[in-house]
Parts: sequence; C-alpha cells; structure tokens
Amino acid sequence: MPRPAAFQFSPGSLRCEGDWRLPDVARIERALEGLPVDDTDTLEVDTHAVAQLDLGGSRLLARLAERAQRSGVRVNYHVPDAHRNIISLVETVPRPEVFHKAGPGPLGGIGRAAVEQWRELLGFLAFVGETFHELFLRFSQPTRFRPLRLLAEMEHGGVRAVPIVAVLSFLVGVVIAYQLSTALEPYGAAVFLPELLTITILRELGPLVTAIVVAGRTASAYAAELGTMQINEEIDALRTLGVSPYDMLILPKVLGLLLVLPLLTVLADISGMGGGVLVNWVAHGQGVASFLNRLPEGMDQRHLWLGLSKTPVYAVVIAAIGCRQGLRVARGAGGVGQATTRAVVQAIFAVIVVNAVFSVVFNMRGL
Amino acid sequence: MEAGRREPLIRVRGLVNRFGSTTVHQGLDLDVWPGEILGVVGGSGAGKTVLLRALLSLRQPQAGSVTISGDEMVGVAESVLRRRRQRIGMLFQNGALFGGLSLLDNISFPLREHTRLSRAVIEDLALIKLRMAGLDAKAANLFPNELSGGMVRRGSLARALIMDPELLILDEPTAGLDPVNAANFDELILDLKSLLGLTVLLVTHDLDSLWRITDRVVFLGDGRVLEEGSVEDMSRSEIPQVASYFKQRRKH
Repeated sequence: MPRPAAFQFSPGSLRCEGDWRLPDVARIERALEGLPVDDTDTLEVDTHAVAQLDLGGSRLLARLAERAQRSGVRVNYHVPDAHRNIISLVETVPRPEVFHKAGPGPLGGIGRAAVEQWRELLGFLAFVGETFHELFLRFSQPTRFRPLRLLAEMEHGGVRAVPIVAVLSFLVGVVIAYQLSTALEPYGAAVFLPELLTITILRELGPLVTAIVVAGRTASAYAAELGTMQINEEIDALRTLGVSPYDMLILPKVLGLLLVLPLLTVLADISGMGGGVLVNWVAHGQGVASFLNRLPEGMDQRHLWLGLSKTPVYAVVIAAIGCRQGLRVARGAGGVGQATTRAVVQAIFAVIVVNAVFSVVFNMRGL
Repeated sequence: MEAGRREPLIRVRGLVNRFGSTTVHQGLDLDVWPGEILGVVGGSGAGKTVLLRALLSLRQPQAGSVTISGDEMVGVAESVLRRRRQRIGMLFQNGALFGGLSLLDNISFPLREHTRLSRAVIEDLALIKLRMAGLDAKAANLFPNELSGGMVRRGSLARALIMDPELLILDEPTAGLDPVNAANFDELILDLKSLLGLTVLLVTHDLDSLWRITDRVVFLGDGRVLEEGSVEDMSRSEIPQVASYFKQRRKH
C-alpha cells in the first residue's frame, strides 16, 4: 500500500517521509514552495525515511534546493545510496536557448499573413500554369488521356452533385422571385418578373450557386484524396512506377470538372427558373404558359451565354485549388484536415472574386 | 530460479483472443518478473501486438486474466484502468506522438492530464526526460513532423517514461532504424533500465536487439508461449518453428 508523501520541516532541516512518487507528490508541491528555506546558513535534506522516490519527487526537492541556494544557503543531502542516482538526474534541467518563440507582434503578423497570401496566389497561378502546360503536352500524345478516369471524375464531381445543385438553385429561384415580386408589386410592374428573373438567375445566381456548391463538395474531396495519397507516399509510388500524377489524377479532375460544371449550371438555371415560375403562378396567378410566352422578350439569349461563359473559369479554379492543396500536404494526418479546409475556403473565396471580376468586365464592355 | 520468492509484475493466465473465426491466443500463460528485460518474438500474426494491447486492456480478451503488480486489468471499469495504466509506459510502433503538439507538449501531456503539478515543474520534468531519452533540448520546440525516425522513437520513449512507470512496454522499438541508431537505442534502454529500475517488455524482430539487451525471451506461436529461455536457448531449440525463426535470422 503506498504511503502518502509528507515532510517535516524545522528551520535548517527537511525530513522527507512516505512515497515521493507521481502523481501523489503533486499534493505537497505548494507546501514545499512555501517553506522558508532562506533563514539559515545550511539546509539539511534527509530522505532516509522515503520508501520510494521517483524523478517527479526528487525534482521537487531539487527545486527547493535551487531556491535555497539562490539565497546563499548551503544544501546538504543525506540520502540512501538508492536515491543518489535519481537525485543527480534531476539536478539540472537542459533548457533550449530560445524557449517560447516570441511571436511577430501585431504589425509583423499582418505582414507575415500578407506575404503568405501573396505566395499562395503565386503558387496557385504556378500550379494552373503547370497544369495547362502538362495538358498541352498531352495533345501530341492523345493516348495518354485516360477516358475511364475522366468518366469516373465526371460522375463523382458532376452526376452525384445533381440533386443538391437542383434543390438549392430551385430554392434560390423561389426566394429571388418572392423578393422581386414584392418590390415590383407596388408599381404594378410584377409582369416584368420573367425578365428580371432571367437576368438574375441565368446570368448571376445559377452559375454562382453551382460553383459554390461544387467548390464545397469537390475541392474538399480532391484535397482530401490527394492529401491522403501524398502522406501514404502513393503519389511518389505512382511517379516511381513511371506514371505521371498529372495523367492519372490531376488532368482527369480538371478536365472532368471543366466538362460537368457548365452542364450543372444549365441544370441550376432550369431549376432556378422553375422556382421562379412556381412563385409567379402561386402568387400572381400567371400561369406557366404566360410566363413562358414572356420569356423570349425578356430573355435576351446573351444572359444565358454570359452566365455559362464564366463556368470554365470556375471549374479550373476549383479543381486547381483542390488538387494543389492536396499535393501540398506534408507528413501527418492533421495536414489532410488543414488542406481540406484551406481548399474549401480558398475555392469559395476565389469563385466569388472571379464572379466579381466578370461582373465588372461585362459591365465595362456594355454586355 | 528466483521465481519462487517473488511475485511476477505481469501475470497472464489462460488468455484467449479471437477475431471472428481466427484465434490469436489460445490459453496463453506468461509471467514477467520485476527488473527483467523480456523479449517477445514470434512470426507475423503470432499475436505479439494483440498481447500488448491486452496487457494495457486496450482490447478486451475473450477469456483469461491479466494482472499487473497484482491488479486485474481485464473486465475492469475504464476509470479504474486509467489509474492502473499510469504505472505502464508504452512505446507504440510508430511513436504515436500527437501531431498537433510540440515534442515538449507531447512529453508533458500525461503530467498535465494526471497530476496537479505546476507548469514550471512539469516543464522541468519533461526536459529532463527529453535529455534522458538522448535528445537535445533544442528538439523540445519541434513538431513531430519535423523529427527524424530515430528522434520520434526517442521522443516517444520520453513520453512513455514521463509518469515514472515501473513497467515499460516497447513495440518494435528499433524497427525502421539503421543499425547504428538501433544499437544506440538498445543502449539507451539498458541505461534507463538500470537507472530507473524498470521492467521492460519488448516485442521485436531485431535479433541483434534480442542478443544485446534481453534477459529472457519468449516465443509466441500456435496461440501460446512455445518456448522460453535465454537467446542462446532459443537458437538451440528443438521446436522446429523456433529453430527456423532463429536460424533464418542468423544468416545475415
């Protein structure tokens, strides 16, 4: 049965008793710290009555001795041979020179973050460039394309995203139609709803909602897949086996997304307009037929094409960010989680930025 | 031998472990005596790692009992086990350092969880253990992914020793280390054992290691201990499985 750690102190002498072992010894740390050891010239420390002493217990003694020595007190140990080694082990603590690295400070932190973001951007552009370089190299060797991989990626990134894209854009259509009609009603302008819906959904929200959903779903999936392969050394294994990861992994992903994102966007357009038609019918009694009749007037075809023209850019951005973050994963499972998060955040961010750039450019060109 | 007078530190009786229809242990008996370094060997799939997991009660065996210094480890509530496990230091095969913590935080983690010592003392103890494991204090601030294989092993050993356990369990400590590093690691185990009075249970495939540091070896096969004795006894064993294991490995 272990005995509790204890001690008896009188000025100039400390007699330790019981078992000085972890974790029990933590109980007396406070009391030891509080001992007035600086009143006398010498401090006699006796551990003969200690049955078991471990490094934790002896380190507490050593700290007490250090404190006494700092105030000029001589410390004499009276210890049985069995304790001598243990006590000598804990007499000094090896400390690294720089212990807790000082942070860069608030201003430095901002600078550091800015540099890091700038490097991220450059890294991303370099990766896109590299990917297209590899892609163009393949044109002279079309046999290196892998149609099966491409189809698999199209299924994962496209076909399986159909339900969520359809539902979300339908709901967005419903919401937009309601808001627009509430605003138009007082002016008796609710008849213009089809025109406005066309612009809002075909040109802006259809492509954007699709891209955001795909960025969340697919960029994370790419980052997690490639990241896991990276830490399992599978990517190195591919290279060693003479297969370029571009052929096998990256190009199919980029091309696959490039093909499916416009298709998903068309789907989002249709189902978003469907939501608008529904609201128009329920709230304003304008039947589907009359809505469709008005469409050709309102729907300048260019809105559809302008909307779709953004999707290849979104696709490349999303796929490149996902793949790049996956390939950057260093050792460790935590890295995969970080890469996945970074991929999603960056992809959604990039999609919205790209969308804003498109809006500005289209407007300046009067489109 | 001395077995008569002393109580074994680990006593395993009638251990049965099954995975589905595969039986790994079929009534395994094992004693580990205080202060010895016991090597556990056996072919792949002989159940060495499963045995270690059963010792720490990380896995519930189908039958049998495991006692560590007299305390039962099988069928005991997790809250009781938590205290009993503190007396055991375990070095996992790949180190199992927590990737999100610096080496110093990894080593001091058990102290922070299980004791109420102040930060300063915890830091002292972790740095002392780091030195005892043969690492430079500079490594304290590094993260596991910045360490070499040998350093991970040493850091993990420091963490296993932080609670000053009586029993140290090592799962293939030298696997994947170069011979020089492996020999140094063996030396370290020997030093620590004599310094701290540890009992060491060591699973290994490294025959050099067995020769260098073990007092006794048990050979697992057919779900039980097939043979036990010193390494010399093992290489002269009449059981074909044991003899071929040691012969195969003597060639290089």
